Amino acid sequence: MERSPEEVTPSEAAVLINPGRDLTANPNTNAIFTSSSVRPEWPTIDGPLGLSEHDSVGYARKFFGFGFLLLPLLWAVNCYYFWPVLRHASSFPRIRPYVVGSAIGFTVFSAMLASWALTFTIGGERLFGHAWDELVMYNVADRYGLTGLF
Amino acid sequence: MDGNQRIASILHSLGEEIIRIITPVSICMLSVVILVSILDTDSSISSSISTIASIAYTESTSDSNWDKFKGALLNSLVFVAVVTVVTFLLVLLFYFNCTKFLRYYMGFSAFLVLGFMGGEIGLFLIQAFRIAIDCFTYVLLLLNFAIVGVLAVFMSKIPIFVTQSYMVIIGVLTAYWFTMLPEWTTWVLLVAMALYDLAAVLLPGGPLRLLVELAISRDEDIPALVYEARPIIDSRNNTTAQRRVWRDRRANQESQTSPLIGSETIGSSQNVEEGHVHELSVPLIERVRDHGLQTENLGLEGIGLGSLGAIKLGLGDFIFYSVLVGRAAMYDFMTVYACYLAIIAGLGITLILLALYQKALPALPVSVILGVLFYVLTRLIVLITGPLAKYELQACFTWFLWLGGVAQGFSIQKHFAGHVGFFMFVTFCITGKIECLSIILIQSFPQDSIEIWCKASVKIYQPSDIGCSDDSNQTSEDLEPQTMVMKQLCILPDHMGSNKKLISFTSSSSSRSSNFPLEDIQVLDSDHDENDNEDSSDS
Repeated sequence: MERSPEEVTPSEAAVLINPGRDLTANPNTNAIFTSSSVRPEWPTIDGPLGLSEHDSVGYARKFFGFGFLLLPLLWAVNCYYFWPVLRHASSFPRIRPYVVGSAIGFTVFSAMLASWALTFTIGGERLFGHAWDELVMYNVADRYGLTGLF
Repeated sequence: MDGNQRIASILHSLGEEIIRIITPVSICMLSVVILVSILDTDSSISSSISTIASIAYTESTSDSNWDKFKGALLNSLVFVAVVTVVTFLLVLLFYFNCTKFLRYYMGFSAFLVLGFMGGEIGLFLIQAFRIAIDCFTYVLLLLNFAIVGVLAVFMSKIPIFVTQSYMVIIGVLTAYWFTMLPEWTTWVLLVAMALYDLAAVLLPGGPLRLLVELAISRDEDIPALVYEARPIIDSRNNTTAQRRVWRDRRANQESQTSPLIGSETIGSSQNVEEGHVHELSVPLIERVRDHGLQTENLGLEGIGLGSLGAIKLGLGDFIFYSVLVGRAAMYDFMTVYACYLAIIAGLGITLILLALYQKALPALPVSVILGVLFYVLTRLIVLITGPLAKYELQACFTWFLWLGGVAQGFSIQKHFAGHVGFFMFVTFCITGKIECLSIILIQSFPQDSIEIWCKASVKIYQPSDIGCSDDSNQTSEDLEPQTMVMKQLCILPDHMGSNKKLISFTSSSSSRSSNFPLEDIQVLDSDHDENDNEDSSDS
């Protein structure tokens, strides 16, 4: 007694879109139904296994706030968790500012970190001189005997 | 017709759940094998490791086998005793409702594992590959990694995928650390932990059984590091309805006709966690659990079914499976294949038993005993018959185990396991045969042909290429003859045209370099003094 996906009513389609990767079908119905007229019901990527919209606001805000403590990975997790919020531009108006803020923060921070790391790696001793040897990790590890800790 | 369809979909979802637990176990084992083969820390670090597991006796290479075995036995007994004591402590704390303290301890141990062990293994990798990362970036990335990991373990409001990945990573790090134990200790410890798991879960007075019964009677989650597979929510609504029906003993005829569609059913999954009506014992899936304990970080062993019908596997199981496979990797890759298949077969058997008996079951014994058995048999037979037999033996083992795996797979899920098993079988057979054949070929080359090949390759080398430098990838014990050979070749150009016998020189296998007779080097330099020869070989 299976019903083909196209026959379902919009509210069920909303449910069918979001339960994460568990659905073996429905990438096509995603394309058909994800216009802004259809609002996904679950703000998290886990769908029905995740948070409801009411609870999500608090968590989105907390993740966004704690990310400022030099935790860009937390911002990335925030964006990944609330991916449906990012994708559907007009839904979940209360959650969206935090998630978009996390996305921007993550991009900016990782750009800065990547540029510093690449400068360090590629520039090497020519750019930094004596300090390169002191900063590079394997020398630091040797100097402080960090690999014998456990 | 309807009944058949329902049975087919039950099998389908059960098979998919089994795949969802075997995939992370396989990923964990694969990661540990890769780490073990990349990082060669067996020699220097393991002697200085001091853990609970080697407190009683530190293995040294000079002891006899019987001494090593006795020492390993002592170590394992100490370890199992400590684990028992800590498990009883855990039961006590759980009995007095100190759940908060347990969760904090869990978070703290996760931070230790991810931060310190992860950092150390990262350092090993950096040193092995000479990655030029600076300390600020490294510390920042490590802190990020560790803190998000603690959050993933601590809170349940993190994406399921992230939580699962962190569980697997914690398992990999702890397992890698355990592989640094001395060899005999590792194997005896594995067997001891398997026996302990069996006793602690099945005996009436066992700590794990008490824990599980307490958790069931209070209808609570045990606060511990447990991997939970994602529960299946099928898009076909009647299957979802069936899962709901499975959860309570109401009439089965509701499944096809009741309006259990869409949001109602999905919404009820949230109620399932709180609503006690749905958590009754169910024909096939029962909310019983089984957990073991592992000291350092409250990782549990054992297998059970979670509240949504998802399969839960304790982290201790991940760890000990990976330790077994990691240790097998330190011998050879074919042992890895056989032990991996043995473990997966054991896990499958345990899952079938879980479905049959619907009570708490230990996940370690079957897999570990099978794995250790295959490893020991392989080593014994190799000892008796020589190195080549190992490959034939492994091929036989893989064949038998694959047959068993396919039988299991077909009995559970028709479409998926068959293909996977077939590809695995083909891959193993092909790699095994290729290794076998190549070794036969190399060992049957006539000695002269190798020398002629080497002469040709040596002539291509310029002295500056050889460079009298030691940046080769050889291990330390091979380095000296190689270095000497290279240094001799530095003064070769004078003699290239002469018809003196050249040295057989390959830079490929380390076993070759140790076969170099030093007399050949001296033959080459017979024009010079013996003193000159020794001087230049000393330089």
